[in-house]
Amino acid sequence: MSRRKDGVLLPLEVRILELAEQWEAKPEPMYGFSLAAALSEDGGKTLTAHGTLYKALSRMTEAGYLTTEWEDPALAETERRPRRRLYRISADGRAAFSKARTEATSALLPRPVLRPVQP
Amino acid sequence: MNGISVPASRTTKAVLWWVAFYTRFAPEDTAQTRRDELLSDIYEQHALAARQGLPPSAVDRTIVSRAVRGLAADLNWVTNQHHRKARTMTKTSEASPHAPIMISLSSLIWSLAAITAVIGLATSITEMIDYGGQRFGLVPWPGASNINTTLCILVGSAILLIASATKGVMKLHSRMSR
Repeated sequence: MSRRKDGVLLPLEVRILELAEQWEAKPEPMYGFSLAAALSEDGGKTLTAHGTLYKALSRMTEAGYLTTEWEDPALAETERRPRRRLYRISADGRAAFSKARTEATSALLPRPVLRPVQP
Repeated sequence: MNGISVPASRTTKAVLWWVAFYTRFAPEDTAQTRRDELLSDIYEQHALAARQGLPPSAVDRTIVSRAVRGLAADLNWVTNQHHRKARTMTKTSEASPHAPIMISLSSLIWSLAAITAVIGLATSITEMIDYGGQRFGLVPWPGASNINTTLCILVGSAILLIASATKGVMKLHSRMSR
């Protein structure tokens, strides 16, 4: 399996960063399953596979694009459910997303074609 | 986890067993995080399905599908975690000139090697017991194994099994001494 260069983002990771940025405006924090559900809304896809999702989140956290913390155990206890691991986009994550978006936009722009000068 | 449990369908148990199995090969803190996160994910999926009135069989199918589609990524994650741990240990052992020689292969690979070795040993020993003296050497019957090949499998499997067992004992010893 070929290794990816540091800083290179997969389409899934770019989408996660985009969602994480949008999530900042929401009252409820982002966690694994809520992210999977949001990703599945892209064109009615099925829920992202466990391994794919959590491997991407793990890599992005280690790269510093996302910050993570476990929610307050008391809250989970009150709602009688397991604790959620919450994710937030970091400053590095915003920069990486901005860069990826710029690159995607420039890739779509038509390239100038050099023509020979007519005499 | 605080008496909270996910719906105990056979499917959910199987998926959680798989998570518990592959995370055994990752460093303990990372492994526990992954286990807790997956438990929360599966719980949330059941909870959402219950709110939407979906039948449990439909949720089970989705959970299995998510687990199966993610198998390759799970194994890749474990390997990466193990390599990261090995790199850290290498740095530590470089700092200490008297550090023991490290066996840096993944525990998962060692387990597979042990299984292969056991199969190899069983096959070659059975071959020798069942057909010894008739199939080898003097009796040239069609499809008979070559004694040299069987001996190679026997010796190779024994070496592999000894190495795997040594690795297992070392790991157990290091866990007990922690």
